[in-house]
Amino acid sequence: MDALRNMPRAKNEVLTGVEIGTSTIKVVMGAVLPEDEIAILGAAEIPSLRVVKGEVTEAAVVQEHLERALAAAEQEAGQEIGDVFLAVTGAHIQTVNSVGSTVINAPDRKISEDDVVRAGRNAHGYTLSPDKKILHYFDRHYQIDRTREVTNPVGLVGTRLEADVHIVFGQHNRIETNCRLIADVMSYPAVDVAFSPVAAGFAVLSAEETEKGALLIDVGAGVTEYAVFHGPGCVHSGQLAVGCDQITNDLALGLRVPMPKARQILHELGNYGSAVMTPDGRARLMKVDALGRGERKIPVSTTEQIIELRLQELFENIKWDLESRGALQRAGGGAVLCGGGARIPGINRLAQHVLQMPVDTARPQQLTGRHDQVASPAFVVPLGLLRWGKMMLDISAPEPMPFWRQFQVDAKKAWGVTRRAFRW
Amino acid sequence: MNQNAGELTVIGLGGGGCRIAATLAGLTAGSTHWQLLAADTDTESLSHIQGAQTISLGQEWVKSEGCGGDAVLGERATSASADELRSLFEGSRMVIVAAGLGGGTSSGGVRVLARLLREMDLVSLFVVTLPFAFEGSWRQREAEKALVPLRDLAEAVIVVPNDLLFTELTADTPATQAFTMADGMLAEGIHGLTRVLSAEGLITADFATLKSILRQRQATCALGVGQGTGEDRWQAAIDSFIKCPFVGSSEALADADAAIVTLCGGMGLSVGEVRSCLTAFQQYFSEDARVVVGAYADDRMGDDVQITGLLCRYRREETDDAGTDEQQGPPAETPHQETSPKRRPRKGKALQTQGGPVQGELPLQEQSLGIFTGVQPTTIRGENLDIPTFQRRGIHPDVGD
Repeated sequence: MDALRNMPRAKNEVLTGVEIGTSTIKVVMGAVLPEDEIAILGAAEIPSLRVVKGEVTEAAVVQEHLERALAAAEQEAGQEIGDVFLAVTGAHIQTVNSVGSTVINAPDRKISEDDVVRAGRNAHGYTLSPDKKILHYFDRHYQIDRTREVTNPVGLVGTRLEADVHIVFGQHNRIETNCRLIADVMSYPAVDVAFSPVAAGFAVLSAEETEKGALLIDVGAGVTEYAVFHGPGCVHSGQLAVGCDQITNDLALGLRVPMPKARQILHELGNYGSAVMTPDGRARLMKVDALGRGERKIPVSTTEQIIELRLQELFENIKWDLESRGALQRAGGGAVLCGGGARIPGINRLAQHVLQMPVDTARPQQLTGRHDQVASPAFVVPLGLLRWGKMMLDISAPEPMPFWRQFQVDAKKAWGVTRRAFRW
Repeated sequence: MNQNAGELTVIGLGGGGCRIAATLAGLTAGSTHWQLLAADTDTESLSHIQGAQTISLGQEWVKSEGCGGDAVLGERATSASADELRSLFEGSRMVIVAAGLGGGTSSGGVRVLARLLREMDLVSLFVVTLPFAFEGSWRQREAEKALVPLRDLAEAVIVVPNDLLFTELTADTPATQAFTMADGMLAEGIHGLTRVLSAEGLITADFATLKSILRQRQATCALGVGQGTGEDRWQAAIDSFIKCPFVGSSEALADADAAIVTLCGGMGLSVGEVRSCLTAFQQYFSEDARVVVGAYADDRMGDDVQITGLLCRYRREETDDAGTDEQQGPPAETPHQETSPKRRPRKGKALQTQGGPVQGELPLQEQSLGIFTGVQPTTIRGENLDIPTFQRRGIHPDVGD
């Protein structure tokens, strides 16, 4: 409890991470201590309604639940909610890898900080339609004279510098919907928004793992997001609006049972089977109450097969995207799974089989305080938001203007910020 | 010579598989570099097998009488013996499963074995035969139904349609001889493949190489055997390998992405001889192909030489057509194939495009959205992912009624 005692009391040091998920709204309040430890003050999880595939479909309902979740966290923490950071996801989030180049003009051909910024800015020249909003820029790597690949070109000699950046963007209005909700409840806006797998990476990946390269897959209820972290930061990310809801729906249709029963079967899967089909599943039978037809006996293998087919397809689609964008080989250290789906028994083995790399369940790094509730793979996104938010605040501290305003209007600044941020 | 002992397990499943296992036991005559198993539900036929360890599957389900062609029964029986099989596979690094599809035990059992091997993370190679046309269309259908899930589950599947043998058989061949030939050819092929690993050879490949070839995604493979004798014996062996009904033509070699080739000669086999043969043989492959070679001497060969080869072609992404034709090579080119055998590979093609004509007998799989009705669909490469995967793949789950 030493950590708690040392905790800063000032209001602005308490950060709040909010994730409006398809199945639950999660709020975590905490402070990031100097050693990068997260001290948890309070947390709340409230089942959400009217959120489909990660997107809010009925604002009034979601707002009410969000209010309850924030109030519950506040009550548990015994402190007022400070700076709010919000995670966004959904089918509208897209990513693109873009390359910008610049010619080195200095007489000695030494690459300066300015050249790097200029190359980066050219890469951002990727034109987006006005209804899109950029969430993140990450540099993937730099190339000098089209031959050398480096992570930090400053001080090296070359004639031409190319910056390869990863840009995450989404529908402006849909992101704004979530931001409005926070603003309406709190009466002040969220400080910053982050794409959920990027935030999750901050919670579960250590610096060494990021250096080696790691793939993070967040299997949520409505959306599965993934991000590859390597070297200086995130080199690729993406989402697929397929999650546990699809598995439940498959089970409901395949076994001809109502949705709540299908959900129960999925939750209790560990009692009789796994996501990877067990060889003797055919010989074991499970009882299922059918719709108006009395009790039936269904082989366990049927349930397992439906789940396996769905998850295998999901991982194959992720692998396909990573391969086609040249990001798979960068995840040298293996993959971690988080989100509610990471709790499905056998999912690690299935992912390992498809992705052909070691797969583990994500564990939040360096927690203190009341962390019993949040130390599960389902809470990593709001946890990561705390560390992400702390970093954003640190970087923006010298700025006289409120940082969130700066970040939103000045894409160029945001770029510089993120770039510096990832040189941890 | 026991360096590889226990690393390799060969299991014959069902009636046909057990016959292959028995033939193999005869070929190897007590060689100890592998573990040979024969598994069947029919205890009576198992008792005739010598030289292989026998396992009678799922006795509580079938009461020693076999499955009578019921694949569901076969699957249940094999499932019930999963623990026993698992303990036998323990310690092996690679398992070769031989089965004659179409029977109950084999059609149902291969799925269970594939799952078991995948769970144990062992390298697996399935060598399965499709029944002769004269065995009846029902067996054909059972075999093809068993093959669909197997391709997804197993790492490498070698499909050998028995009918291709007709290119070598005359009309008056007795049926028993046809079966013996089919079994013999497969046994030779498996034997040759395993010899690549065996440490007694002149040239051997290590396990990791074999594994990396087989672990490539969804390899479709063909197995060939060629023999030669006399003056120009190596060239004769190469020619007979190419003409081997399961290979088809030299184009099958040119199309292969990888091959595991074993050369076998008498005790006088010299390295120079092996080299000149390989040089001649490698011309048939494309430059990018990865050809792994093993050579060994066997005093039983006398002056004869033998080439056995496994040709693999990896599945190109999403291109169904390119990924199927190579399966048995393009047999249409060979002159003596005007008649029935020509149709068999075409069937194989229909199999891979799931939900194709093969499924015609089954009721059409309906596609439904459930709770995602009216929700903006998640679409990837033209597929609506909100529709359950099993429905899109045309799989009918067993829901107990």
